[in-house]
Amino acid sequence: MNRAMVRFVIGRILFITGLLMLPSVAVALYYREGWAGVWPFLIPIAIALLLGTALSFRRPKNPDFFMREGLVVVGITWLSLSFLGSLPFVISRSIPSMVDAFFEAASGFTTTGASVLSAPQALLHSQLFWRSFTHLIGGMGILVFALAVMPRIQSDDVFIMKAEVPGPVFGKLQSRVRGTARVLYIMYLAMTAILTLLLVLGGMPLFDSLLHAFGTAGTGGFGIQANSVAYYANPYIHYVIAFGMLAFGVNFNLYYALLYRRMKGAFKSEEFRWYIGFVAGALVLILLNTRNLYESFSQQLREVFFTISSIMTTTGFTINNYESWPLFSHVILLGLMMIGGMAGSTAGGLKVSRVALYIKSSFQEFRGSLNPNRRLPLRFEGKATGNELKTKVFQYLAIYILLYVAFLSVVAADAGDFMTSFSAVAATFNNIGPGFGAVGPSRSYQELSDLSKVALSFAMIMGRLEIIPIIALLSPRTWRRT
Amino acid sequence: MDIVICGAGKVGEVLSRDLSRENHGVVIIEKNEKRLNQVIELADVSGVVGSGSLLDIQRQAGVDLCDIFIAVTPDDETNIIAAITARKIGARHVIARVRNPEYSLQMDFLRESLGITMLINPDLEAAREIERMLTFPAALGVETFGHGRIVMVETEVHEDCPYLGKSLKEIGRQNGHILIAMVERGEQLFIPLGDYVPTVGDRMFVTGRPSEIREFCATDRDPERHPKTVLIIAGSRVTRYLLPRLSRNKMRAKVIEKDENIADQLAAEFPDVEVVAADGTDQAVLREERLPNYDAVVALTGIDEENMLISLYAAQEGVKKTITKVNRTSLLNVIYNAGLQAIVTPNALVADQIIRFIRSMENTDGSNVEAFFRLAPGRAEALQFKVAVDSPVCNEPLHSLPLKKGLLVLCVLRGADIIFPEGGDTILPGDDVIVVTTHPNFQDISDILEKK
Repeated sequence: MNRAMVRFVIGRILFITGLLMLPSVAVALYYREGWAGVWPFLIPIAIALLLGTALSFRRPKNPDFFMREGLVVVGITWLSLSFLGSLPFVISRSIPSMVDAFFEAASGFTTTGASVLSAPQALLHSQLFWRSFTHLIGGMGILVFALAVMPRIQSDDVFIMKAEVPGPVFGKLQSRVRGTARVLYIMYLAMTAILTLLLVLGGMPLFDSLLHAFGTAGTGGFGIQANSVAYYANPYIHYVIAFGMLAFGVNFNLYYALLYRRMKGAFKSEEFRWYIGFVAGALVLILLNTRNLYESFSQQLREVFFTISSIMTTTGFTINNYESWPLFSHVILLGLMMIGGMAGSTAGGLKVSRVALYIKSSFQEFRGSLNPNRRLPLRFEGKATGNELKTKVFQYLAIYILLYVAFLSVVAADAGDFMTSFSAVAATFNNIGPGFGAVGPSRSYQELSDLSKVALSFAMIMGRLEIIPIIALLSPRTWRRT
Repeated sequence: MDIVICGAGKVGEVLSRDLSRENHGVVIIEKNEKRLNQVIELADVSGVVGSGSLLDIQRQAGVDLCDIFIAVTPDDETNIIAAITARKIGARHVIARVRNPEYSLQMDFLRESLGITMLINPDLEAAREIERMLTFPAALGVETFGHGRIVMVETEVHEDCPYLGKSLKEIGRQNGHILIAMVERGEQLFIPLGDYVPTVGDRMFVTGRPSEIREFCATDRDPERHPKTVLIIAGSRVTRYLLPRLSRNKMRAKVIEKDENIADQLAAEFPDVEVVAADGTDQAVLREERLPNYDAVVALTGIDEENMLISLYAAQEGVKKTITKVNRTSLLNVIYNAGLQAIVTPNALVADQIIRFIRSMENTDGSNVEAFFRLAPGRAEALQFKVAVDSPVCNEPLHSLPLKKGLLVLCVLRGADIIFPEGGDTILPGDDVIVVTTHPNFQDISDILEKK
């Protein structure tokens, strides 16, 4: 591994991280929070800028940068990002415990939205802003951002992007990585701005609108009130956020195709149809299952649709306590948690395209067993997929399940019941946020032990980065020179 | 001696040229008449057109009366059948070239039951040679005696040699079992005595245990005693033979092979070796596989030019040891000029080994010499003798024996022990004794004594 190059790139990214904390300082100044508001950010900013400058001061002679370096850079960046991001909470004493703060920051950057705070409204504006701002940064990825704004590191940036952008296949929108990163961020920020505007029009205060737009855009889901979005008793706001979340769960390549190439039927994408299919199916099933719990259909539709959109896109905003729904609905929701959003979106989970491939190849197995010698290529998006992709997608499932069980056993050690521990892992590993039981929408992760919180912090980061970069950090093989 | 060579390929050509020069009577059997005539023009030999595996042709070539029959056609089965036939009709020694790794597994059977004196596998020889080059990176040449238990390394004294200006006595005290058997200084060749002081440019033949020799050969310029990591380009047959040898020497190997099936096979066969399916002639691939960080790079593709380019690239990237496989001997001069460090030519290795075997046959015929090695051609030899019960060298300490000048009793093999004898040691009956000498034509161990 080319350690000098890894050090250099991480230095640059740390520097950018430092700069990204400045808006929170501005918020603190705007709301006249004084020293107590500004101080918690100055230390991490100083650390990030100084360390970043020191690490990237000398450009390495050997610019070789390959997949291994890309994975290591992404892994280290996300771990150090979560650490730096937690410092404001610790220093301001808003979350005094380091473990809790790390959990909160990891949850923010990975756009999970799982919180240890039961009353976030008590926080300073600057703290709340930083907490939601991490969603915005983490949604599209700090490294993609770094690629978009930084002077070119060198020609092999594609390995960084490959490692950070989730999904089984990595598609470039433009011929240059940097162009791709810029286009992604422009679309992302523009959609966030539109969403903010729509929320302000619905009567939500500007500050709250911004923060909710951040949470929606990154499919994060940090609420700024104890009862999340339910606080704003306005169906318009609920629908705006529900559709907003769905929109950010879509592969950004589709938007690009729609905008720039004016491609007809960009939404004929097979993955998109599966995505809509999952949402529609879940909607029908849960509506039927909960028909006796509601008096008004409009309220039922709103709450069910909002919840499905929130869970499927792995956001985690809530407008009702879905704990009161029957078990069947809970199982459907757990299924949606695992599926997650589309590849190339800001959502987490296994990704719709992988799940679609699992389902399709299962059907193929049945067809194949009727006529064992028949050649059956696995078709996706109208093309026969290679065996290599199929193997990769299935191996991912195997790793996913193994790690799931590992995390589950750690959490099970101190969680009271099965649903709590199972959904806690499902909600963090897939970057959703609230689960069921003790970690349900009306409760927080505060009650779990420190060990569980650390494990779940790693689950969140692994889930966001699709596991491999973190595993790569742990392997001694990665660190060898040859 | 009368020698029949079957197959006028590259090896056949080299053999017929070298052997005819050493005044042996050589007959070549070759199917292709044109090719046969080419070789006959190059060397003073006679030829028979036809397939060497046929009895008729063999009789015609005089195989039944010859001393040595050598089968080096490109085809393994032809070689084996020709060798067996030759043995049955009366050739005294038969040598066959066999490439297929599966035949080499049954080498002992072929040798003992079918009477083939010597089986040579060019790929295996190449792998052995590469192993030697890697384990003794500073060596110019490496010989083994006593079935590989004793190693003799030829090494040159450089400016940074730690022993410059010290006498042999001092050097010996620092290095347990190291023995400098012979020194070549310019045209001079001598067995060093205690007052010998190494000077720059001397070529020393050093013997001892492998690990100690490595220690001795290490200089400040190559502080690492031998490469720890080896990058091999292409998964050829040589690679197959080489990989277990590398792991035996605790070297970590990575193989880059273009063909995915071959790569899969290799990966399955050698679980400890990292096998990469990629084009090893692509510089981007080589960089991604961290070629510059490897201690040694071995280029083993089937194409000479590619191997040369890979090695040149590796040397440019600062790889300390590069080894290049080159098949075409006609390219060798070009390569030496291009500055490649180490070159392996399987066909030349095979020819060398056959010639060495024939020379030792020639020298040991009718004598008590068990093995014979030429150190500096024509001027110094190493001989291995079996000591008879009534030999005059027995039962007396070496310092009291009237030994000739220009001679060194290198070591004594007694059962499983290797003894580097000093003045007080005695030779016992039944020992194998290896002697290094500048005297020609030793026939028996008693020749080491001054005649009374």
